[in-house]
Formats: sequence, C-alpha cells, structure tokens
Amino acid sequence: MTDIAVVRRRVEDAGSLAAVLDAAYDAFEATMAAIRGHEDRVGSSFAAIAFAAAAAADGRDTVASAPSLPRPPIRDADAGAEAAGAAPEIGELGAALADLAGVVGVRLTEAAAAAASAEDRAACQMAALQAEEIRALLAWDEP
Amino acid sequence: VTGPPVLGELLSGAHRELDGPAAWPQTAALGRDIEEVTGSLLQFIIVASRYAGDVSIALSETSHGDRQLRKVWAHATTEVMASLSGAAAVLGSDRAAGWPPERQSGCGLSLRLDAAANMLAAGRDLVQTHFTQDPSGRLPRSEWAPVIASPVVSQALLAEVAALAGRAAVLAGAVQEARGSATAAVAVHRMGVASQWLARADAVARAAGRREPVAAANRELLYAVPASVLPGRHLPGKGASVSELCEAIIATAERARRTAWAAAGAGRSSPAISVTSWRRIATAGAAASQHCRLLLTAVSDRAAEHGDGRVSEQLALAAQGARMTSGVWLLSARRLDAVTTDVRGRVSRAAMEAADLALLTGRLAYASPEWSLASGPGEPARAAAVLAPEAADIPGVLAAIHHAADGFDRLAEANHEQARSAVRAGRVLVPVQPIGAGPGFPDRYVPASTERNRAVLLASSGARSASARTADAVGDIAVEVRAQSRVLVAARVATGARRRTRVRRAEAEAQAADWAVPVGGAAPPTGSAAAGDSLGLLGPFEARLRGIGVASARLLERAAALDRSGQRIISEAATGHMDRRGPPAGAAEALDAEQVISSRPAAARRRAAVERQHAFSAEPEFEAEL
Repeated sequence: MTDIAVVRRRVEDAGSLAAVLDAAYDAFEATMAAIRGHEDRVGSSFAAIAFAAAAAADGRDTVASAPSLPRPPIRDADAGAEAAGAAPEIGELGAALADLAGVVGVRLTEAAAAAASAEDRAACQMAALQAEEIRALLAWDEP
Repeated sequence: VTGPPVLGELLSGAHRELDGPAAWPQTAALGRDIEEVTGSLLQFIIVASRYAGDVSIALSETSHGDRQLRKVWAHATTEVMASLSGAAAVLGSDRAAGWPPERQSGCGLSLRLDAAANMLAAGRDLVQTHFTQDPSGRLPRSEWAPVIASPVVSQALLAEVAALAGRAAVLAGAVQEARGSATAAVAVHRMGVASQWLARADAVARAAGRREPVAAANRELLYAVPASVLPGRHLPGKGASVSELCEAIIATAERARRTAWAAAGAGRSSPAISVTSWRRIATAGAAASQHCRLLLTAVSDRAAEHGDGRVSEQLALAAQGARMTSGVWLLSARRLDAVTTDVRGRVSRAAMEAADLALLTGRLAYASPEWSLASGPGEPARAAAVLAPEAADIPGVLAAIHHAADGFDRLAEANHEQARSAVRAGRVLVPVQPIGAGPGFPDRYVPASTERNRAVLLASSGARSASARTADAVGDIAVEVRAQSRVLVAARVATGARRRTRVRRAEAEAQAADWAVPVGGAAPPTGSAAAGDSLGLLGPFEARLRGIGVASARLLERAAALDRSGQRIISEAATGHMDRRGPPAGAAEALDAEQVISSRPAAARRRAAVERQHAFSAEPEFEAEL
C-alpha cells in the first residue's frame, strides 16, 4: 500500500510527458504486483481483481509503445512493486488501486492533449482508457 | 430461446413421412400414379446418393478413429452407393435428360416421397453450412465440421440414409399391388426392381451395423448437428431467472466455441494473435472456473439433499477440479504479464465471448441479481435450493456448467495454438532491459528468450490440459444425469479430442441402435452396379476414385465408362426380362457382414483440413519447437 501511495504521488507530480509516461508505467506495474499477491483471497471480487490485473498489463504495454517514454526509466522499475508485508484488506486494496487508476487516467488524458507526436498521443489515449477500465472494475464503493 | 434448426428434426421428418402404411393409395389413373411415384422415388434416391457420397468422401479423408469401423463402413458406403445408383438407373436410365420433370403430385405416396426427399435435401443443405467448397474438396468452416466428418457420425449418417432407403423400398414395393394394367406393367416392374436395390442398401448398412454398431450417443450427436448459425449475443438483464441465465450461458458457449475454433486456425503471422486477447481469455478462464466451482459445489449439495450421493460426490470432485483449473488459468495470466506480442491492444471476439461467459457464470453463481465483473468482495453465493429447487432442475444447471467448461476448453486450445504459432514466428516479445536500451533499439521489445517462451507455452498448455480435465469431469456427470449437454461428450469423442479411459463409461451408456429387424425386400443380383450419371449422380467406380482424391481425367472417364456399362446391364435386366423377379424375398436379410465386408482399396490418406484434430497431447510437445 505504501508503494501504491508513492507511485500515486509520482503520477500526480509528473511535470512532463516523459515523466507522466514513466510514472504511469510504474503505476501499471505496481497495480499488477499488488493484485497478483492477493488474488487467492478475494471471494466474489475475484473477477474484478483478475480483470484489473489484465488491464494493468495491457496499460503497461501501451505506455511502453510511446516514443517519449524515457529509456532507461527515470527510476528503478522494481521500486514500483508492492513490497512484502502485512496484506491489506481487499476492499482497502481495491479502493487504493481504483484511486491510483483514476489519477493515472486523468494524467494520461492530459498528456495526450499536450503530446506533439501522434504515437505518443495514441498511446496516452489508449492507456488512459485502460486505466479507466481498472478504476471501473475496482471502484466498489461508487454507486 | 429458440436454437437453430438441427439435422435431427429433418431426419425425423423424413422418417415420419416414410414410416406410415405402405398400401397403394390409388388416387388417379394408374399410369399417372406410377409416373408420379417413380419421379418422387428418383428424387429421393438422388438426395440419398448425395449423402452417401458425402460419407464416402469423409471416410476416405480421415485416418483417425477405429480402423475396423472405418473399414467396415467404408465398404458399406460403397455398396450403398452402388445400390442407390442401381435403383436410380432402373427408374431413370432410359429417360431423356431433365427427368424427373417438374410435376404436381396428386398421389399420396408420391407426396410422401417428395416430402421425405425435401427434408433430406434440407438436411444436407444444413450439413453443408459447416463446409465451404474448394477446388480440392470441402473445407471446414465451423467447429462442427470435424464432428460431421468423423467416422462415427459418418457411420450414423449412412445408417440413417440406408434405413430411409429401406422404408422407401417398402413403399415402392407397394406399387406391385397396382398390377392389372398392361400399360403400367413396365413401370411397375421397374419399381419392383428399384425397391429391391433400395432394400439391399438398407440390408448392407444393417449388416455393417451388426459388425460395427452405431452407438446411440453417435446417432444422438448426428441428430444434434445444428445449422451453422451462431446465436446472437444475449446477456440477460439484472434479475434474470436461473433458466434464463442457463440458456444464455449455453448460447454464449456456442459462440465461444465457434470463435475459438476460428482463432485456433490463425496463421503464425495473423494480426489476430495478440497478448491482450490471451490475457483476457486467461483471466476470464480463471474467473469462470471459480464460478463453476461455486456452482458445482451448490449442485453437489443439492444432489446430496435429494439422496443422490454418487452424483453428489462426482460433482464435489469436479468442483475441486474447477478450483484447480482456475489456479492454472491464473498462472497462465501471470506468465503473460511478463511478455507481450508484436500486436497489442486488440481484443478478439473469442476474448469477448470469454468475458461474457465469466459474467454469466458469475451471475448464476452469486445471489445478487446485480452481480457483475466489477462486483466487490462479500457477495454471497446463490443458495443451492434456489439454483436447483428440484432434483429435476440439476441437469439443466449442469448443462450450463458443462457448456461453459467446454467453451473454455476450446478457448484454452485456441490460446495454446496461437501461442505455439507466435513462438515459432518469434512474435512473443519482452521489454528491452534498461541496460540495453538506447538508440540502437528501434523498438522497445526484443524476442523472448527460449526460457521465457517455454514458460509461456507451459502455462498455456497447462491451462489447456486443466480445462480439458474439467470439461471431461463435468461431461461424465452430464452423461450420468442425462443432461442435454451430453452431446458435447460425444462430439469430443468423435473428433478424438477425448481419449481418456473415463469416456468408456459415457460410451457404455450408449445403446446400440436397433439393427434387429431388416426391412423386407429382396437383394438384386450382386455384381456391377449401375450409375445414374444422366441424373447428375456419380457411379460407384467414379465416386470411389473421386473419394480417394483421384483427379486424373483419364481414370475418371474409365471409371465412368464402367459405371455406364453397369447401368446398361441393369437397364437391360429391368426391361428385357420383364417376367423375371428379383431374388427370393429374404435374401437381403441373409446378407451377412462377412459377405458385405471385402477388401477395400486403401483409402488415400489425403491430409484434409477437416481432420484438424484438437487432441490434447503430452504437455512437453512444444519442446522441439524451442
């Protein structure tokens, strides 16, 4: 959960297209890592969790296709992974990931509007949709 | 929900028309009646011959299935074709082209034969919707095509057609009652000889059936062949009843099977191969398997409450299997997290159907009428008593679970086939590591390592095997409780997709078809059969050559010449020896399998697309590809 919060802050604070893409990439990776550790105890939310992980993998791939994604990454990609520790309650995890996906979607949409190249724009738009899919799957408290 | 028409409706209709009394219902002038019946019978024979030709080709194209069964029935097919051709020659060999003419039947017998012929023709049209024509022959265009072309379904089809020919023989024999008019004597005699040929076709098939019986399950499978029309996408609204959800699951599974069949055939460079679809299918497979676990557990509880401990135990075991299958699908999804493909972001129709199946099975498994793929934790499962209030409700729910499990089995197969193709083509990619990244890499991905490819293939192979096991386990119970979905088991056996020993129990349930009482009638003389090529029918020699893939015009012409010679002999026999009756009644019954079975020319092992088998084999099969 700590890492999700860290990644969320990076996404929020990203000031350039490259920084947004880099942080979004890590956010998708962090989402996958967080979910993959908890799929066996999610009960009726199993489908939502599992489909969110698939969407996160797709989102990461989409961001990776953007020409402006910095190489090498701005920070160590592994730092985005969920650290071992006390497992969060599933509702709490879902809410945190939905929140993160919401922020990622907003920032990628903004980045798409500002992107100069068509490839960057398309990647940002597509990845924003995938972030929105994650949010929709995990926003269980929303009516 | 009304499904597509099935072949069984049309075959049953043809039986109904022909199974009535065989008395001669003279309704008009004798000569006109016989003329009408002759034309109607000829139409029937033409259609029946086309079916027999289809069976002949199917049996010559395949090399799987029981060898003895194929041998026995391939020979029977040749004999049936010869008999039908003989009958056609007797009735129409000296007629001008264009015979039988368009006519308005008034005679009741003629109307019955016309109706049977029309139903048979419609049935053949229905079957043909699963194939497409190609210069090299017919090619499959649906997941039903390999089933239809399988030896056991071909066997069942020939038996049906021959049995109908036997009934037509009885009706044609009734014309003998119309004797008394000198002007009709020739026509009556022709009809009698044709009747004997038709009876022989029936007797030949019965003899083959005594040697290699048609299992009831395979006859049922034949009858279940649907028109190749996909049901529309149907997602019941919130609050749908259990039966509505079950119907929707079955329809969606049919769509999933079709799309999976198409996806499995994607070429190695096909843009349809996409990691996005693989992930979605794997995820949906994991979720749907979880839902099936819940459903099987509930149905198991219900079976126990109704006192069926054996089925309850089987269901509980199947539930455990579904749980394991969910885990294997999930592992596959995790493996796919680490790779990508050159095509990304595309969600295939197969993946969409998979997601629909996950949604519908979940909506059936959980109590909330508003359950969706985005539902959170804490939702209670649907109570077993609501799922299946009565013992009689269990087969319906089980059929839905079975269809879903079978659908995911096909999807797993498709995923694995695509993964194999992608690995062979170097289309499985991994991100460039940061150390190596830079201007020297025009793309951000490089082909996956051998180890990574192996992991992907192991995962997809594991999902395939686990899904097959679950489908088989549920299928066994479906057979046991006579769920409507049991035909899926027969289909898997027919195509060789299921070889494990447990299937024997399902087969043991099948009763041999009734071959006990041959239809009366006499067999015409043995020997060269006639051809009805003037009617657009192939003679037996030409049909056999075409059936084994011979395309040489010279050989085909020689075969056709032999067929024509035989036709002349038949014609002479029919017209030149008017007072000569056929062999004594009962000769057909005396036909024994040993007489029917003789050495058949070795069928060409033409590799047909029809025979694309979906047998799951040893998991490390892909080692050689890496």
